[in-house]
Amino acid sequence: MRKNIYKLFGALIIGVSIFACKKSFLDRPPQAAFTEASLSNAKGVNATLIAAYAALDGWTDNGWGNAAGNPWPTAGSNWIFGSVASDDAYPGSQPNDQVPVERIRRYQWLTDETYYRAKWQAIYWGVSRTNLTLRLVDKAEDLTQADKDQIIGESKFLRAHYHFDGYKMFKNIPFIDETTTEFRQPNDVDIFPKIEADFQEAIAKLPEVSSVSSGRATKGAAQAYLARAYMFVGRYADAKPLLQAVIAGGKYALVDNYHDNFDPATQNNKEMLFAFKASVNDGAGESANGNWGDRLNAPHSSTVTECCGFHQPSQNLVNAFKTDANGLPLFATFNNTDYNQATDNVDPRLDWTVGRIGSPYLDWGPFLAGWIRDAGYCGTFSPKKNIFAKAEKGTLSTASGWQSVPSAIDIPFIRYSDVLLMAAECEIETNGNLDLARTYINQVRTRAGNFVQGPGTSAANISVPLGTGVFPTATYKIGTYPSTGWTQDYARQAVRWERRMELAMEGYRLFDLRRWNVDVDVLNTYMNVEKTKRTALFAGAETVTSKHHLYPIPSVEIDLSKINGTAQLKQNPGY
Amino acid sequence: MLKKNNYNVRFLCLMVLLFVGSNLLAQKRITGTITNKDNNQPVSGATVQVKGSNNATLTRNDGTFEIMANDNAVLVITVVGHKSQEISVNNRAVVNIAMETSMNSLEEVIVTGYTAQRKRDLTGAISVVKPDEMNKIASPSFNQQIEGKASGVSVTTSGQPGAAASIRIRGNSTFTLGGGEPLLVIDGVQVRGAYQNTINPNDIESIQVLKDAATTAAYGIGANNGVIIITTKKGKAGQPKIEFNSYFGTQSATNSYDKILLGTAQEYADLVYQSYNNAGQWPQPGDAIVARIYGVGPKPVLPAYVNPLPANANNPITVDPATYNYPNNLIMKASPGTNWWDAVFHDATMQEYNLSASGGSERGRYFFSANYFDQDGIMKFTDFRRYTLRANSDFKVKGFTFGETFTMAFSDGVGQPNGNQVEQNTLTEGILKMQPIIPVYDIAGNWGGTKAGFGNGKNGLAKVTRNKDNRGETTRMLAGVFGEVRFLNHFTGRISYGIDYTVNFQKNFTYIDYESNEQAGSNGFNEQTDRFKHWIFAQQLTYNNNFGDHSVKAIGVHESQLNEFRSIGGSLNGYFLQSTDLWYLNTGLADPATRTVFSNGGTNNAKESYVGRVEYGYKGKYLLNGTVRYDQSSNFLLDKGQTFGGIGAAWVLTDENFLKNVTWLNSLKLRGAWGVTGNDAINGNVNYTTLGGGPGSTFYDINGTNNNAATGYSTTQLGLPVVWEKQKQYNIGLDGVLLRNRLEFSFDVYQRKNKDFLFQIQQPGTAGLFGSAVGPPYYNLGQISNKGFEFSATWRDRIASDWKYDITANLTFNKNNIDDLAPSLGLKSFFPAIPETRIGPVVRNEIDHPMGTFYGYTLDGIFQSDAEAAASTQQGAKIGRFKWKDVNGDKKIDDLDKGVIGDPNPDLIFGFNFNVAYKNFDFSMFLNGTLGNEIFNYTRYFTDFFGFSGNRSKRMLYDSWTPTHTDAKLPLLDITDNYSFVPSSYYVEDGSYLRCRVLQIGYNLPASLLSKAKIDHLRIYVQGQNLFTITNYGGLDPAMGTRDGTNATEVFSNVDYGNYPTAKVLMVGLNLSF
Repeated sequence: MRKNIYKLFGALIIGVSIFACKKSFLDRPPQAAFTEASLSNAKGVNATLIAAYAALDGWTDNGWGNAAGNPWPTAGSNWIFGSVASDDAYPGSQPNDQVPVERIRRYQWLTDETYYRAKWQAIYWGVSRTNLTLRLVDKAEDLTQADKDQIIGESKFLRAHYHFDGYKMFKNIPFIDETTTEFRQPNDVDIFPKIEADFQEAIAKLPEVSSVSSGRATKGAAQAYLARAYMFVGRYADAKPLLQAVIAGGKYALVDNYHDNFDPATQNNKEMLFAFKASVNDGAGESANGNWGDRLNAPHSSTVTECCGFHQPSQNLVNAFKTDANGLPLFATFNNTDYNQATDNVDPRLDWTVGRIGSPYLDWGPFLAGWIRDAGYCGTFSPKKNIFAKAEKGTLSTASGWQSVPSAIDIPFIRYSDVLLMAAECEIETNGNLDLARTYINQVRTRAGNFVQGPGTSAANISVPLGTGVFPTATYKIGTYPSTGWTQDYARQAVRWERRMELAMEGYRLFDLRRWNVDVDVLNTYMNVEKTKRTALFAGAETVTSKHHLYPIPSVEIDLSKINGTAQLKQNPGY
Repeated sequence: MLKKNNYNVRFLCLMVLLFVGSNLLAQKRITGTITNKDNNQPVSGATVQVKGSNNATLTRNDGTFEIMANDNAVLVITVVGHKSQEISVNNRAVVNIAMETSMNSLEEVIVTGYTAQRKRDLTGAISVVKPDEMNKIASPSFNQQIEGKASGVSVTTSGQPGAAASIRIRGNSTFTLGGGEPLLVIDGVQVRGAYQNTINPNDIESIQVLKDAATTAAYGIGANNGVIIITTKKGKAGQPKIEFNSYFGTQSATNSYDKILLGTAQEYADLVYQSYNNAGQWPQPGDAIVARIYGVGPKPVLPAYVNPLPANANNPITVDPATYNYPNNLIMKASPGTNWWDAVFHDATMQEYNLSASGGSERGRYFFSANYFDQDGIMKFTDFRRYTLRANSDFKVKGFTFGETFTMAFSDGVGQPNGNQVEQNTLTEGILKMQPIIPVYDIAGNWGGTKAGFGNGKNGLAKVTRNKDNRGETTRMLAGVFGEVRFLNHFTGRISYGIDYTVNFQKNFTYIDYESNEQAGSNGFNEQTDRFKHWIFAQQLTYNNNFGDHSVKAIGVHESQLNEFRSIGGSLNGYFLQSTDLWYLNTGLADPATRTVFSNGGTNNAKESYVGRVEYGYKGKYLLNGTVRYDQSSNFLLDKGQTFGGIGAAWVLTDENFLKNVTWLNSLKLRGAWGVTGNDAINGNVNYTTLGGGPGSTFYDINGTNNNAATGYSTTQLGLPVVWEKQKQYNIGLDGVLLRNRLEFSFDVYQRKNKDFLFQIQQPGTAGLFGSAVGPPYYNLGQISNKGFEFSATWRDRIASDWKYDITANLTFNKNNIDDLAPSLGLKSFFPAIPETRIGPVVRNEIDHPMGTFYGYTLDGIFQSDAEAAASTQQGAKIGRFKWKDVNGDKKIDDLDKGVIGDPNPDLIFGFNFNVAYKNFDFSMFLNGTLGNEIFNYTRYFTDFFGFSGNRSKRMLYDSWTPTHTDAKLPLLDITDNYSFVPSSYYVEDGSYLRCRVLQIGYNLPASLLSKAKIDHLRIYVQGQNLFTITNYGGLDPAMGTRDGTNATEVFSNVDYGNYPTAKVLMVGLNLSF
């Protein structure tokens, strides 16, 4: 009997050990996750390509709460680095709110500022997603060559976009491709040829068709983008044929109403060559697919949104919209007096770009003084291009989460008006056809005069044709340039001015000033006037010098690039 | 990985051992009584064991026992507090024994995991914590109770009720999540994790801390950072015994921000205006928001009311209280100085009730207990409550023993809104970030807040009040069953199964806070459920025999374990009504478009292990043991299996002739141990590059629909196959008992070197990891060592017959060092991978420095003149600002001058315990602390610089640089100083402290009184906890809680983000048994 018990006991042990020894017991693949192998197919590769687009706004909801990964410095719109750092805008809000933005505004550009690092990381985060797609596309056997070309074309377009974003910011950055495994790369080689090559390949592989309802990169977008890149390094002659090809292709055109480019309901239009496509109330927590990077940039009002009052237009920008009796800009005198709505003519684009107290704010009614967080600090102007209409609240803006700002308003990266202005600039700078340049500029100005902000408060009359309504808070006047006096110098001034007006508050201004190499002069002149108007804001500001041509390489990144104690990344000059 | 066949061969060998020989020698029943030699009282609970076998029993309450033994058997009698005795049966049927009292602890039986040994036979370094000492600290968790009670053991926790406490033994040698924690073995079930609140400390019979490889090697891969063996109470043969313990106490904060923060609105306004004046300006009409509140001109004027009226109104604005309107025009009466600490903190109660019943016979024993613990937090609306039940029993049937240990715990509580030690927590937001002019309530009795332009802080009282129903719950079952058979005199077979099952549930509702500057856009609710499941199945065979002067014990174990975790949650916004009855995710209750569901993924890992151990003794004075353990873990893709092991040896010198006649020396033992253990505390997923994502992070509206994102996936984890952490360690120790058993001491020198430590190193940005969207890969990075020595001593004596006292000291000196970093990676230092602070990284690990050193500039005073500032290459150099040291000597101040500015690791941790008893009175005091550790006081960023429009520190107003106060600690108050705030040694403070953890006075009611009421024992006591703390640290509490977040415990130790401080407790209690 006793022996039987022992046998039973022993059998139990052996039984258990056999059970425990099953091969699968110690073989535990990753849980709740894909591997590269499981996504190396058509479906998987397309999904990774979608994710490569998703990084265009520079924001991952997973990074929330990470001081260095805040969505503001990484915003696809570059509102801090391109706009606040230029003469277009102030930080907004109130003192000591987002101090890094204030430091950037004051040209106190610290090498260990967390914001530069966040931007740096966001750029390569986008790059790595394109590289993943490029690695997987080769392994996917169920893709046709045509499919592959399309995917490679889109990926390289995006990779070039991300690198170029970094190039504008820091210039001296490494180029990371799908074969890179050592990420501590030096930044002593000009990566422009690689950006160029990626765009060239995108041009070769992408279809011509303008897919109006789609956010995908196209040949036209790649041509225009490469032209922009060439112009950034002064290669106007290389840019010109690309832009001519886009214009001649006829796939894109100006929309009648300037504001349609900033209304989520009308943004999918023939003018938009390429944009970040924002989406809200789509199942992502707190509408994380909305335009998060611009989340702070809304009036501080419990009526419109609860946030936050950032990215306020500067007095200088508002003054620049003033026009003379012919509706032309006041190049020399615009900033002598501040814009006065009772006496000054103004470009209608002012009221599509800037919220002004007492003036209609889309369909929200007259902009109220109480919607400004701290008028004493950054004035009384408010951003407008990234504000949804009252009629769109909760449907085209988020219905959940912290504050109500994220909306479906896209971030335009290339608009056709930009293409026209770039083409005009190329004609001017290459001693080309000045009249053609004038035609391009006038097309943009003519369109700008079509519709103005309406005085009513209903969704139907946000826009009204100029001349059909009564506009008690502004006298709109915009004219085209005549041929008389249209010299190269004058044309250059005109096209540069036009870019500022047309693209105001869209994050391009500082980078334009840099490529024209006028940033030091323009910004110091600007500050000398502004600091008499906004004392607290400009207190302690540094003088702009040649070092401000480039943002500093984030010092932590330099530290992280060390191999055996030697940093592979070199700091930019002057820091 | 082992092949199946090999595996079975091993087991066949075990089985052969099982079946060899089966003749049983003739045995007979022997009875007897054990008494105390001094007073002739019966001794209950003594172990009577047949020498060289596992045949043993316990004496009953009347001291009697019975046992089956041969006529020539030798009985070994052991009981705590007495010298053990061996006595031959010599054909007798009745054996009575009188035991001599012993005041030393050498006869105590120490459970070392798979085996138990008398303390005198140990070869390893083991600390024993006595439950009665432990339970003097009122806490729901034993973790907090063993702080300072054992040498080599350090504990960190915060004052938040129910907060997790982390334990480090002999320093730390790993950064892995939870890997620095010792392995816990609770009644044979191996558990990990911070949920130790679910073990009722009153149920604990003994705690053994295994510190060196002589014993820890048996746990191989789990044992790198020591093992804590917890045995819960079992019944004892005899009459049922009922025990009841209870206390009630009040808690109050040991510290506040009163010494730190400005107390009045006037001081705050003065500070702000000074910072303007020093920059050569003052708030102008139409200028910054302060002008709207405090007026224009060089001096501030306090207003009567504040409200969020239009910004371009006259300065200062005049407010008409009659225009109040909720929620659009909230008017507050200006406060002369709100004390936000007092608004958020209060005195709170704590209480515990514990009832147990135990008893049994030699055929079976039982122990039941029920416990209720209830602690309100000193932060309002925080609390922790716990209910536990326990049933332990075992039964003997013929040669078999069966039994179970079972405990069920339910706890719930409300913690700080947003968690502990995170930047946006209540301490930071509700206290540091609130200006004193803001009243708690506005003129209509609604919440006061920052809406009028006072930065983005939140009303702390509003925040905790709104948070009061956001309760979290934990339900945990920890249960084990076992069967044991003794056979062939010398063999014991044991089979056991244990399960640890935990469910966490958290719900959270957020309200619209109209009074705040940046109010929430909509209300919202989310809930989350986590499920942890862990089982362990083990079989053990033990052989135990004596051959003359030789004693041998051999153990073979096989065990397998499985761990599973998964989590699910959801959220919904725009609730129509806010009642707690509607806190569900039904779409009908709120805005259906906002509903989300999410999974927090899962883990699933398995382990299978074999252990062999041999213990050998010669004449009880030469002791040797060896352990080999083969572990396989699914957490590794390559090299799943690894062999660990250790050897230990001891020499009892006092058993040698040359020391036999030294009368003042009762016992002296020299010990040595060497061994290898490991650590596998990583998620197996990290071996793989994984892809995934989700609606918010990888999906994209490629078709421009505005409300429908296409599915996208990207890399979520960069994987690299890694191998285990392997630690080699040695220990040399000396144990002594001196001066007629009055002095016991133990001294150990140790070194442990953890090779291939695992770390998720922060990757360069170019790797494409951003925020926490992509997990960086783990690397086997290098070696971390801990060297040190420990000393503990107890002096015990009587003065006359009525006075008894003892004094115990524990000291641990430890030196931590990162010895080398993988040469193939070319690293000299590395940053943590996870979020840092608003001022950039403050922690960087460097070769040849300890783990977790603070990183920044070294403060070199303040620029004293314009000329000095002009001559400096430092960015933003200006008179009155901080000046950094040219650390690398290149005559240039830049980022290369940043380096190690502080060390969070203590040089010394200590605990002192005093007990005095006089007749029926007893008194005890317990002190503990650390020496030589530093704290990075990150709260200074909020209080000392202009990073937020929150309240400011007194030192900023009164001890900042001016031309006439040039030896100031702080830079000039200057609204334009955007430079002095960067990480520097200014933030680093000495964190050494000495704290009086316990002061207790008790009184035992005389037995003569109690016997009438049939009460065995009744003791009442009064007690104070944390009555005083001596420290130079300027923050709230130098005993730093751990930061919330992945791996944060290891990586951000002693970074103070605003900690929930320890409470002072005053209590009365009673212990009753009958």
